[in-house]
Amino acid sequence: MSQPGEEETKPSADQSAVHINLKVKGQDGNEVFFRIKRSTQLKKLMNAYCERQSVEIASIAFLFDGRRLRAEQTPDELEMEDGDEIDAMLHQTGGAAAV
Amino acid sequence: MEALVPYFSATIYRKRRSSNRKGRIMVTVSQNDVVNGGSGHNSLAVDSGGNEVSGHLQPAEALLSTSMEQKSSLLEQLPFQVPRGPRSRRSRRQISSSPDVGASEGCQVEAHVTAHRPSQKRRPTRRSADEKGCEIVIPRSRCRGQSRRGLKSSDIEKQKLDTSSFDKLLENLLAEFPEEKRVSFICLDSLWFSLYSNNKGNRSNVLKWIKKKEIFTKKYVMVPIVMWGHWSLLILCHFGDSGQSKFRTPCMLLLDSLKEANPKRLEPEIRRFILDIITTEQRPFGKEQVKKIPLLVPKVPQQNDDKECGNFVLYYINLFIENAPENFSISDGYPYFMTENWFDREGVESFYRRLGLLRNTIDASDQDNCNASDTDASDELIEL
Repeated sequence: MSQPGEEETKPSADQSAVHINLKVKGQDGNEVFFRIKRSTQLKKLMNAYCERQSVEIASIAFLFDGRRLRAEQTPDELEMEDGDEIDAMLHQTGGAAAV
Repeated sequence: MEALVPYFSATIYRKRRSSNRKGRIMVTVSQNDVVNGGSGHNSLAVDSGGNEVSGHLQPAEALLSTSMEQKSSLLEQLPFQVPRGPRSRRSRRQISSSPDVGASEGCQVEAHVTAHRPSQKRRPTRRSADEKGCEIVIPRSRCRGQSRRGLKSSDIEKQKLDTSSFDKLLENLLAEFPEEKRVSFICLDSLWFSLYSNNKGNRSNVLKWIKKKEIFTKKYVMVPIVMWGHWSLLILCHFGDSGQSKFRTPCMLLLDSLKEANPKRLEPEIRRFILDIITTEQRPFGKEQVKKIPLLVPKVPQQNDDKECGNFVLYYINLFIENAPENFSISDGYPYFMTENWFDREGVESFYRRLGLLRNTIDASDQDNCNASDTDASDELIEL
């Protein structure tokens, strides 16, 4: 019977089912770690990151696996896994050949 | 006499938080000013956050204005071609009060541009006393404020595009194409090229993302490029055919709305990018073969101010998808189907109207997202 063993691991398995650890990596290589509920909109993480880095949220692009993250998406929706990395980069603006 | 417009490469770094108020970053600009024939270092302060820059670097501004004026007078003879302007520097005031304004189509656009400049000036812009150094102030996040809504639609259409609004517009634009058109091309994210180019550490990641897109199954691959504050469009044609077919030969097209900026300056970077992609994906191309793939710069409609290039890139994408034939080959003779009459000014104008409508839709949905209820349970997010 494997029942007892499963009982033992259940609390931590439950924990990781609800929460997830994510790493946000800036262009300068700086890394910030967050623990977020899987069902929470990533807006929360984006806001916290930008607040910490003192940058406006609209000026930063968050990429997960190269795809842009939208604020209303959740880790669940994106099938993110524990330890996944998000790239944060400044949006680029173009008008003419000078900024 | 290579290029008229000076290029800036900017290094952006954040000032220590304690010594600065929130949202302020420092930018150091190394300037390679062709006219001055030298280079210098300017330092400017930038408020991060908004999508566009409301101030300009003075030397560049003066140069662009000069070329614009020249363009107005020659536009009728050479539609969509931007002639090289004289090297003299004139103030923008002189240009805006020129009696020629409105005399030709190009001039109307000119007048339009000058007309909406005052609205920009309302934004706080601080400039240092030094003529070369100036400060750019980017407006705060537009998410909650509704400043954009207060602007006239014509103002909105002529704004600079950043990689955020660009991709939103592009996504909406592409969704309007029928499925049979959509299967033959793919667009890469507008951030990828600059990410690849600006940071060597990112290259393997970018290449990995591109590989997932299976771009070689498509006839055309659109690569929007924003480099040195300027948008241009690279189109990879028939890369999946590895040069075997007589009707489809691989080639690269580089479409740029500012010919003066010398689009070919991107060539070494583009070739490195392509070679890397091909190596990563183990395509049956030799290194020498890749080198021989021609990079062509067809004549395309040109921008009339210092803001529109992003919109033009969207226009080119749209036009290309609408018009690109099933097959074309180098043996058909360059510029293939992209002869001078594959675009006209009216097409650009009506495209702008379409963009304006798209923007309204996007703004409205952004607004909804901003207003969406925001629960505040403390266990939802913890910084580690």
